[in-house]
Amino acid sequence: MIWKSIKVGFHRLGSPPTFYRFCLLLSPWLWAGFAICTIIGLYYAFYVVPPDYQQSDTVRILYIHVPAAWQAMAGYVVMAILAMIALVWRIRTTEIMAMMCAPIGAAFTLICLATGSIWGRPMWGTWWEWDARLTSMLVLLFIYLGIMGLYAAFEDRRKGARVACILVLVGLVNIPIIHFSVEWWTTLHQGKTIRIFGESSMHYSMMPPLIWMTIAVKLMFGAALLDRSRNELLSQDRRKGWVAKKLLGKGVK
Amino acid sequence: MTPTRKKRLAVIGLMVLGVSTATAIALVALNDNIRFSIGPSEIVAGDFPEGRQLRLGGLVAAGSVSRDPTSLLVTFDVTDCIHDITVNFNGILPDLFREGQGVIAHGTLDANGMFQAHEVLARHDETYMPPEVARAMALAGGNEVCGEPIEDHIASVEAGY
Amino acid sequence: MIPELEYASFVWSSYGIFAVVVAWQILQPVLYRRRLMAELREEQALQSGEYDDPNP
Repeated sequence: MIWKSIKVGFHRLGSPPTFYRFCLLLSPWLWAGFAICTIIGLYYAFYVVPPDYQQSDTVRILYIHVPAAWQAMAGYVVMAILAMIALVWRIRTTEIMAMMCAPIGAAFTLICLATGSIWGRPMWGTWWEWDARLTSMLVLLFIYLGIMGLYAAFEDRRKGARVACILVLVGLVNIPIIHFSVEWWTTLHQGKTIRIFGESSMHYSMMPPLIWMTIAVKLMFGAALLDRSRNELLSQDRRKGWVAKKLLGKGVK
Repeated sequence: MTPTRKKRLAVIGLMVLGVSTATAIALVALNDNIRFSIGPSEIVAGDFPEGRQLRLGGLVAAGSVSRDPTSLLVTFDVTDCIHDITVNFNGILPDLFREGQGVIAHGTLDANGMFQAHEVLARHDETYMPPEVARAMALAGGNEVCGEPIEDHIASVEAGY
Repeated sequence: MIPELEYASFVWSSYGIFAVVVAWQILQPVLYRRRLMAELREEQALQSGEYDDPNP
């Protein structure tokens, strides 16, 4: 019974007007969640956690660097799943969502690279080195930009989405490379600190802001994705009846 | 699932598999070039020619750091607990540099087997803790490099914050 | 109120970049949406003959 209604719900999200309303209703809640988690996270990051014994206060950069890095990679996985669904089932709302993941993912990759570089200057003694982790993360940024460019290059948006979705799946190979780069090769970048299985090598007193900021950026990714997808859908369907009806009626909010 | 969709899924699966295989082969072939640094044992064992640019990675050996009081000249041993290589460096060290720290020295081997670095980077060892916890651990005698205790570790921990 | 930090310029510039990029992610869809709505209203007015030409 519950399973059936979930399935029906998903099918309805394939319908543009329903998807449009879904984005409109859900997005403010995600933005609100993002704001709350960020405020709590920043409070912890600046007023509660102690400085690190080696890095002093530069450890506070980690509370945006690491969540952004995780989100840049998790966002890519989400995009790849959507792209796979889009290519197999040809559902247009999924195509749109997959394409709209790219600019947001690129933004998080940029945050990760910039904050990492700023941390690296005083701690490592360099802004940038071509080690496996840093290079593969830079490649991720270029993949995101390539997907955006490819999608924009086509006059026919659906054709553009389909071609770009293939690039999304090709670029997926970079995600395990980023993740395992610090284990497969000697790198300048440190290895994993946070482990889901086993003990993390971070003292528990320094964890709360990391957790709050991680949740915050996940909510932000969702909110920005819904906002962008709604715009893209409206733009694609500008000549369709449901858009005209919305504009003629009480007006689109 | 309709036959068309099954076919599409299979094509996508094969494509991802193909790309992964090709990438894996390329990465294995390029393994030595992707590595950022080499260890002291490899330098001792391997015949790296004099004057070739190398990145030497390892730990700063306990009690090996000596600074020239009048200049920026600093000498220290980089160890992997089997072999030590002495590094000479004239310049500013990164803030994480201390005994027991992972470092990467960029430079060349000279005729005497000494490493002349023109750049020294510090590695971070992925542990994060507050100063009090680090101090307690240092007092409990938990700090050593390759079995050699770091004599002034408490001092360096305290100097670090 | 504002915490005194070591390496303050590094920490604040990191958070500054974060704030700017996040703000851009919020603003870009809003600005695009405004432009899009204006375009759509104009197209609809043209079709229904209610278009008020500013340069007749």
